[in-house]
Amino acid sequence: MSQRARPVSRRTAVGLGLTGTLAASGLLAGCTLDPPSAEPAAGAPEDPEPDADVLLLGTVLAALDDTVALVTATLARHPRLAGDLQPLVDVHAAHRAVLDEAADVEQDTTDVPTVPGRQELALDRVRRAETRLAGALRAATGTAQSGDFARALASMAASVTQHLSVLDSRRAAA
Amino acid sequence: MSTLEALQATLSAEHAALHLYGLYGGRTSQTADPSLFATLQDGYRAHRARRDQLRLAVADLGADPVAAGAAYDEPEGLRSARSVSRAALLTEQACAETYAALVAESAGPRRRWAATALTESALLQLRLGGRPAAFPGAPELG
Repeated sequence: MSQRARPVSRRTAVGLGLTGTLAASGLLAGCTLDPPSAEPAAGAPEDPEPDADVLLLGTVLAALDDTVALVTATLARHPRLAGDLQPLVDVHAAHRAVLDEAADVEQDTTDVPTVPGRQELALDRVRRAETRLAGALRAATGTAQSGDFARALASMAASVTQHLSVLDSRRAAA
Repeated sequence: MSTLEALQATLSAEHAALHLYGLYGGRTSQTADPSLFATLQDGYRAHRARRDQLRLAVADLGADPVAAGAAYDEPEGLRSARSVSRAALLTEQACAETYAALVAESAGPRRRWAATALTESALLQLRLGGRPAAFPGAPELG
C-alpha cells in the first residue's frame, strides 16, 4: 500500500461484534466477527487476534481520518475553498458512516495538520492526500477477504477518483 | 453467485452496452455535438475492449462466453443530445453496478480488473453529465 503505514495497534480493533445494518448485510462477511462470549472457552486466548479484514478496516480508517483532518483544517484556514473542499468533506463522512457500521473500531486522535498559508499550495496538498487515499482504497480492495467489503472499498476508491477529477476540472476552469 | 456467473453477467452487460452505445452514437452529430460524440466513442471502445477481455476470462475458466442478445430494449425519445447523454449515463451506471458485483465475487487479478473498470466507468459518468457519487456502482450503500 502506498499510503503511509500506520501501526494498526494505534487503532485497536475492539469488541468485534458487528453493529448496524451493513453488518447485517455482511460487509465484512467471512470475517470472524462474532461478539466475544462473556466467558472465553477453556484454553482460548482472552484477547484473540482480530480478523484480517478488521485490521484492514483499521488501516483504511486511519488513511481516511488523516485525509479528513487535512481537508477540514484546510477548509478552516481557507474558507474560500469551500466550493472545492466541502464535497470532499461530505463524501468522506458518507464513507466513514459505512465503515463505522462494519465493526467497532477504537478511534484514534488525529493530529491537526499544518496547512500552507498560500491557497494554491494548500489545495495541492489536499489533492495529493486525496490521491494517496484513492490508492490506499484500491490497495485495500485487492487484499480484503470479504467480497462485500472489497466491493465497498472499490466503490469508495471510484468515488474519491471522481471527486479528484471534478476538483481538477474546477481548478482548470478557475 | 460464483466468479464465473459474475463474469458472465458482466459480459452480458457489455454486450448490451455495446449495442446501446452504437445506438447513441448513431443519434449524435459529430459536427453539432463533438464533445458528446467523442465521449460516446470512448465509451464504445472501452466496452468493446472489456467485452473481449471478459470473453477470454470466461473461456479461461473452461466455459462458453455468453453470446450477445438478439435484441435489446432501446430507450425511447433519443431526440436531443441531452436525452442521449442521459440514456448513456444510465447505461454506464448499470455497467458500474455489474463491475462492483464482480469485485465482490472475484479475487486477485480479476478483482483488480473489475475495480479498475468501476473507476473508469465512474469517470466516464462525469463526462456524460453525471455528478460525483459517494458510492458509484453500489448506490444502496449511500
